[in-house]
Amino acid sequence: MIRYDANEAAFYREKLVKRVQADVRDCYQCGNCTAGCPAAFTFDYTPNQIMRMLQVGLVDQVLESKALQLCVQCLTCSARCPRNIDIAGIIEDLKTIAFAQEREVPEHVKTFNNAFLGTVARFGRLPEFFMMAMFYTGTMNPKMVLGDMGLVPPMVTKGKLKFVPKRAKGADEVSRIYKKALEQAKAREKAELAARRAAAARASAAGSHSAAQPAAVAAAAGSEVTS
Amino acid sequence: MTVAYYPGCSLEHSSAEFDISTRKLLALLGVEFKEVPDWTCCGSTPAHMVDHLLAQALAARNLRQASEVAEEMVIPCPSCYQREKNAEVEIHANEELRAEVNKILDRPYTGRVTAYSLPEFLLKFVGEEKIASLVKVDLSQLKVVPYYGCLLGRPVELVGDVDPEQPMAMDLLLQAAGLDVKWWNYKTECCGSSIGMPKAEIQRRLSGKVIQQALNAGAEAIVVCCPLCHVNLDLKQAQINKFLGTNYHVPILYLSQVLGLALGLSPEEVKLDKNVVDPRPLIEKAIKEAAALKAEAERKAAEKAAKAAAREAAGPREAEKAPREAVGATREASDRATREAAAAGAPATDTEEQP
Repeated sequence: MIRYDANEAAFYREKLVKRVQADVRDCYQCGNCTAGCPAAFTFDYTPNQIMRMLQVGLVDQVLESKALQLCVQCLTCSARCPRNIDIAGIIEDLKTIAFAQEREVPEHVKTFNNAFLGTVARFGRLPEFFMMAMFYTGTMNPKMVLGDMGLVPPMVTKGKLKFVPKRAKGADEVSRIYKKALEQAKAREKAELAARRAAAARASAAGSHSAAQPAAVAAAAGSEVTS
Repeated sequence: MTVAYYPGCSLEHSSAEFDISTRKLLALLGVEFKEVPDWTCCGSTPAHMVDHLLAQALAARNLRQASEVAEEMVIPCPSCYQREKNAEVEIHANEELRAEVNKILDRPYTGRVTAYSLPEFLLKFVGEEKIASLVKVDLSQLKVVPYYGCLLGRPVELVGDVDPEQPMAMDLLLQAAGLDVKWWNYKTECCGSSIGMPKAEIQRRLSGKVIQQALNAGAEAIVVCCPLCHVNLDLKQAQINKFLGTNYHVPILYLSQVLGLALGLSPEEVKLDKNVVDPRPLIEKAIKEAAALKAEAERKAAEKAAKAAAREAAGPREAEKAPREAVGATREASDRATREAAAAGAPATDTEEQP
């Protein structure tokens, strides 16, 4: 059974308004985003369904959906939304939230992101061959390597592949940026989750249904992060 | 004016031809540029999918490096351009974010660097007139469509004065360089790049559609300005063919390569040999066709001039009475008339032919 969750909806709505200046409540389900989406044919939920799910608080399903991971970030939906909602921005932000919450997500997008950014953090710039090797090792799926093996000969003959990665001069700073930013993001999500759990516990202890006011929870979460 | 030049990782490796041809083109156009000292990766697609602060900080580091050499930064790769522009706009407008970003940078970014994409930069700082005045090679028989992809027209708030559905910057530049620019509806459709490795199916289907639409529009080549679009359409064209059961063989050219060729750079200088689908036969054919057409036009013009001159020599009244005779005047007379017309330095008028 699907249960709508008003608290969850309100919490994430506020969070998205703050982070990407986009309000999911503005969506009136015209479906323009889905009509223009080039990748929707691979999604489990279409972009307008995602918007509806966020409105009613089915956030867990959205955060763990294929759609979130397979969004190509072409921004067509945001450009065409008659309500001026930055849909791609919302999807991007939810993706970062899913990452910071260390959720298990479908497809190999997380593997790709980790391979890419791990390589960048190590070398400062992106040695493509090294990144590709990291990605294919990460997927543990030999089929994917074999599918792309055909790309190697033309790249080699055209002199487009450098096998030995070189470290750029700013690599140390880049790896520090990478580490600090991710630590901050993960700490923020953890603190937020703890604050929400505590607030929910307090609310149920008080025996009140309306005590878990989303605004109060968000405020509590905010203060926890800054402290 | 010196501008900072940010090549980015793709241009160092898989899109070396884009880097080399862009540098040559800028030099030819008299643009002074300096590579951003010790630049690093902009974060590309993954960084902003993983963490916002990470993405802004990685991009801000490059803005800081660029501020050491210039106030303006030209970025050929739209993916890098998009990240740098995003950071630029947000950080310049929001001092709080700047402080947050500076906290995780080794040295703070305090400047105000403006990022430009290549088409935008060429239009604003070089201009169509200058490009048109420098054209050396006639590419009027090269039928192309400009493919902008996602990142040169979106998001609207960042890219400025661009119609997200109908960008024109590349059209204008290519027209100025004298190419046969076809109109099509797939200018800003996505090639599927950002998901190309984890989910190849999306990329193959989307890129296949782009190629098909270009052919439908009557183009023989696609002009791109993005290393990611180029990889997907050019390097992966064989994969697309295999996946979709098609038989495409469409050369994919960089904007800088085409403009360079039109302005007289050699195919070696713009590195046409590095494109996987070889564009050289098509370009040779187009140049030959243009030359043949030009010779034909010149021949016709000379013939017309000869006829008109012959008529004039025969006198206006007689020409009216017996035009056939005038046309059939002896070769000698017509040759003499041509010489006379040439000596007079004025092309023969065709007023007589008008009713």
